[in-house]
Amino acid sequence: MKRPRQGLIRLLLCVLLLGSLLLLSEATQNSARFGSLYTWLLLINAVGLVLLMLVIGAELGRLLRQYRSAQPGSRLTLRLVAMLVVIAVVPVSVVYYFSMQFLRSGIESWFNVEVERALQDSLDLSQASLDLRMRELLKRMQQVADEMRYMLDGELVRGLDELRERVEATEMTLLATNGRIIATSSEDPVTLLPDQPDENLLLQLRQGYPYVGLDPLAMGGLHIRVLVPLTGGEGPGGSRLLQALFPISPRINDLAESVQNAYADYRELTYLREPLTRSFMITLSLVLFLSLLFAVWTAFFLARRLVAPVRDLAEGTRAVAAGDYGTQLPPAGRDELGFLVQSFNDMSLRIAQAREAAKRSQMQAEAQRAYLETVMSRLSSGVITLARDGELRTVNRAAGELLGVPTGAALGRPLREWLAEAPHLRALAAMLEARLGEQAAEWREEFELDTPDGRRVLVCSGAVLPDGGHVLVLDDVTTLIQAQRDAAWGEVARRLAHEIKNPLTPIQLSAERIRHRYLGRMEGKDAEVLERSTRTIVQQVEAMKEMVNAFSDYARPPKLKLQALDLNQLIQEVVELYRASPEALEFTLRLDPQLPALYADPGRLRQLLHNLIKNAQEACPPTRRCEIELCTQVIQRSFGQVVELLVTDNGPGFPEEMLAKLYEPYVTTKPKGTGLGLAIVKKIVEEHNGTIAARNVEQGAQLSVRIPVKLPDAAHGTNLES
Amino acid sequence: MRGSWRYNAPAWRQLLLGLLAALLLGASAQAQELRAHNFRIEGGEVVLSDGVYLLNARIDFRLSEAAEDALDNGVPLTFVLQLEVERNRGWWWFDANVLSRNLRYRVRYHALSTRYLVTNVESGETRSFTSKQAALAALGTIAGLPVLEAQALQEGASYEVWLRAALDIDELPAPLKTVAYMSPQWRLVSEWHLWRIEP
Repeated sequence: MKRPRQGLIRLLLCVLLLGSLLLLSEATQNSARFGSLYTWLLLINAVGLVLLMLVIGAELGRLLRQYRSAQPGSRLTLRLVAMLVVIAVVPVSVVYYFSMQFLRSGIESWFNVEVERALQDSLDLSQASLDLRMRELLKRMQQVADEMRYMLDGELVRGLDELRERVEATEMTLLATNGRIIATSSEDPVTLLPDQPDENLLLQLRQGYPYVGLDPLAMGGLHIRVLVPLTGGEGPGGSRLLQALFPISPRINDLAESVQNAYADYRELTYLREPLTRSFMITLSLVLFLSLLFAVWTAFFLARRLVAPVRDLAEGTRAVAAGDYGTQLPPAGRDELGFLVQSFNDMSLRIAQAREAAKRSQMQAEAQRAYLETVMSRLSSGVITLARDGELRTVNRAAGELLGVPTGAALGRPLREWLAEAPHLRALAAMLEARLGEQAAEWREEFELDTPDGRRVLVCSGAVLPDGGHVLVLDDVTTLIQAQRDAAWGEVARRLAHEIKNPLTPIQLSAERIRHRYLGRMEGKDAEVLERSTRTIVQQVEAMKEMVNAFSDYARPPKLKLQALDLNQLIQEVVELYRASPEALEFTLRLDPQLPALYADPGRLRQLLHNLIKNAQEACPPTRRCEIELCTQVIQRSFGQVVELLVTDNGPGFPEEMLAKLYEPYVTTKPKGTGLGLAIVKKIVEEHNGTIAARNVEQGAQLSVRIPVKLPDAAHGTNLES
Repeated sequence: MRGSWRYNAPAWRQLLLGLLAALLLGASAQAQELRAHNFRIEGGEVVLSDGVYLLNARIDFRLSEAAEDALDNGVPLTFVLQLEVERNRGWWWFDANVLSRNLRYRVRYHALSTRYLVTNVESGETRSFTSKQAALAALGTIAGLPVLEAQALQEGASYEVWLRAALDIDELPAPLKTVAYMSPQWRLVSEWHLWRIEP
């Protein structure tokens, strides 16, 4: 809206300026019509010139400021302005120079030395021709004056008319020496006041010199004026003067007048040559300067207008580069620049759209990743993915827990480095390295791991990913294997018990019958042998029955009776029993007072404690005093709190080869013991969803039992509450 | 950018000061020149004679070099005598203009007769003089110029008669006019001269 208006103002100004310039040139050439306007036009144009200069100065200042502050487009504008100005200035200067030359030489050419001399000569000639007559008239008048020297004033006055007619003068006047008119006679009766001579002439005549000269009187045309003194006259005024005006023949008069006019005109023209040239030059300069300044001013306007889309483009590009996508520029006409602006707008829009799409897909990917992560973190299997170069890309929580290594800062580090943090994973690291080195498409391996939660059997399966990386899946099969083993053991125990129990009763009964029937009949030594043998059979069968019952008890445990209990209190009760016993045991209790209540079967737990203490006691060599340390503490796990019980003795520790099958029934290193102690402990722990671990510490062996505070099984939970 | 402007400030100020000084100098020089070439009303009187107020005055028409040169080269010069009569109306009001008259005389050189002609533009009456000085002296001698009839004046009022002599630039030939408007050589004008009459 603003630009066209500005353009209109410029156009209007241009027309006004042109009008005033036209008037100026008209006034310069034709002074009659616009002569009086000339000065005003000059002033108006000069003011216009100054205004234009101010405007241009302001524009230039603005442009320079913009240039210094490095505004976009200012350099190009400046260059364009400079170019346009050069384009305007150079031809105008050339035209100006030559116009000036032509003006000077043109005006000079009007004047000609010969013409001037001819005019001067003709004037001289006219004067010379008139000179002759003048001298003649002077002579005649001097004769008349001689004649009249002694005449009285009265006579003179009376004879004046006659005298005038005699000498053929137009007018004759008698004057006093001070110029006062005494008498006059004129050919023209209408003339009342005669022509008076001026002071200079009177002065000359008072000194006695006559005067003769031409007098260009306006009304009567050219005349010859002759003044002669009448010396020796009488009267109060002293001497008298006689003035006569003589006509010149009309033809000569005309000719002389023509010569005089021509000469005067030429003279004036010659004199005015300089001012004329100057005024033409001023007009020309004004016209040129105004046009030039207007062109310069317009150059600013045009340059700005031309550069505006470029500047917009530059700004737009900068904005896009700075990340402000979707920048739209105002449309800039239908030329190539307009096309460029349109293209820029399209491009900017596309970029904005593409960015939007990228953002959306990124968000989608993010969401997917979060989803995947949630899924992965809920997996009980450990999942680890590796990049091609062995860097960790994904490690889920389960993996960390299975391996017993923190996953926090694992991502992006090489697998080997991550595993090297934990010394117990050295074997695993070596195995994995070997497996990954093979680059087999799929593989599966089982291995054992000594974690803080106990010895675990993990199955690790690996596969090559499409991008060359690897995925490792770790599954804890400890419980599975244990369950299988337990099931097998249970089955064996049940069948064994059944098979053994069945013949035991008949054996016992048979032995008792033998004793009952034959003891009375035998005597002496025979009876004694029989009695001892049958008693041994019955006792041993009884013991065997007991053993088989214990065995079947192990195989088929009673149902748990869960209730809230304080483990610390239970430990103290059990320890109290042992303190009372004769064998000297030394207990060290380090019980955590913040221990939460456990939902567990108190009978089973008591058995567990007994077994553990007994185990420690039995491991203790007789040469030493037995020291047992019992320690409880709370461990925070991802699924909830876990209560840990550590039982440490000062015995010789477990032999290395025993550690793997420590909990299997009938495995024992001790001189006395059933071999079921730790198997039952393990069973009880597992009944409570806990874990057990055995390890050797610096002084003796340590057993760690962990039982979760809240049972993960919801059904169990509700049972407990009821 | 701002800094550089501030840095330039002394230069600007110097330039401005220089311009100002030049202007002042030029103005004072012009003023001196003006005074040198000015016309001067050397004195005179307004006398009542036969019921008519007549003005007698002497004016010194001292021409500048340029004007004299132009006259010698055949350019006619027009002199104007501006005569104003105002009735005094006290300090609180504009004076009433009673009379405003411009008398124009044209002086030109007649080459053939080597005489200077003085023409009254209104009446066309022409007189010729042998020299420029004589012509200007005659022009500058105002004797018995009728101003007002005594009847036209109010009794008891006070009147001011103002006279000024000037060279009429507008009557010059066009090319010379441009120069004349710009040059102080051509700005020939006298001060206003005042006579009071109290009938």
